Amino acid sequence: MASIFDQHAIDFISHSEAQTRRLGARLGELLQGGEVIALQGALGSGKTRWVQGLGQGLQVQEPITSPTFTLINEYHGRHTLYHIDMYRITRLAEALDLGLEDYLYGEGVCVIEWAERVAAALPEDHLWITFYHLDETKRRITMRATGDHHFKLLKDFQRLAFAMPVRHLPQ
Amino acid sequence: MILAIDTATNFASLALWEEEQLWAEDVWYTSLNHSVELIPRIQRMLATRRVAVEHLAGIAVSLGPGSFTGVRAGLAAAKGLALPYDIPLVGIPTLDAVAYPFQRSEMPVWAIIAAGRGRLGAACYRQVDGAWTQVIPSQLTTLEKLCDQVSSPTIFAGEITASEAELLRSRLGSKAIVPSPALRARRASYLAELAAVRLANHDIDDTTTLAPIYLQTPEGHPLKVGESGAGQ
Repeated sequence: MASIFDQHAIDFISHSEAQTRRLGARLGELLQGGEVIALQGALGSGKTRWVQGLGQGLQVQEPITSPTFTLINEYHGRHTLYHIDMYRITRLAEALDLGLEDYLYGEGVCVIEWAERVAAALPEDHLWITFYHLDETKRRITMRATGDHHFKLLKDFQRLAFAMPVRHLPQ
Repeated sequence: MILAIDTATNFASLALWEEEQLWAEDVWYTSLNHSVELIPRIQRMLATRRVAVEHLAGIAVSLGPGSFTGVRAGLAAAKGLALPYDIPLVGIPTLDAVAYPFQRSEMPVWAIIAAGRGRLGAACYRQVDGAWTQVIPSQLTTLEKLCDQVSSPTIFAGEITASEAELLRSRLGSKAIVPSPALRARRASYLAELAAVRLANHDIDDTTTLAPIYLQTPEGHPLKVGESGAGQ
């Protein structure tokens, strides 16, 4: 029966902002540098909250705020965290003109909000997280890994964050 | 005196060079922090010879391919120093400097820079009718793809990690000539010597229009930034 499940993706519900943040922190604890994490979801769907948790897991001390206007914020924790927001980017060429590739192919951790706008520039091996607004506090979150490094990261996250197995997305 | 600036990749380098004499050289590793580290190091280097910027005979700068941010930081610094005093500026392709110390070799040379996550920028050089020539232009590739193109003993120079050197030796055996880390490093003094030849021929670049060289995949993938006029 394994064939009908996608082993590279997981799917769960977060019931509060605090829980979204906590789950982000679990992922942050596992990061080793060199990860590329793409975030997709409407305004207010939990992307920035997730990144704040992730920064906590990376032992970033400064407060993490949305880089909507600065485009890229840099934080120093266990690894350098590049928090990138492509909301204001309309063409891929604009992002490349910012030197986006230096970050994507660098040594730090890259987290990209509105990643769908620069999907073509992402390294093949990455983690894609999508946030769905269910009601005022509830969010559905899906995580899909492409490539060996992020697949392992996803498996480790699943073990660390959930006591019981989560359901796999049908392919 | 020529000041050479190479911040094309995470391995950055500066040199102070005069005809028949290398006065100072600085090679260091930086992680996307070129713009912060470059100017203090230039100041320190010029101070060792008590040279004022306005007395430089020329400035050589590494044009890429390389890190987008790094290349721009170096080029901006070089232009900023050259423009006010009208110092001749010479831009040198980064991989030309990597291949430079091997130009008397009978073997072809793959000159390599790291482009992150196993990607490489590489160009091939060899003697053609007695002239040192770039026979394969710079391209974005991987070590595996480079190996597929090797049919005779070849020198691999530039940014090659220990595990990549091991891979070359295991894939290519005696056809892979990998110089030791110090011998294969990219150094700004090579840039200075390449620039000195051009300065002697009054072959200098236009300080206002000199632009970086960007990497492209052979297939012309989105890495191409030209569309929006990058480098202007």
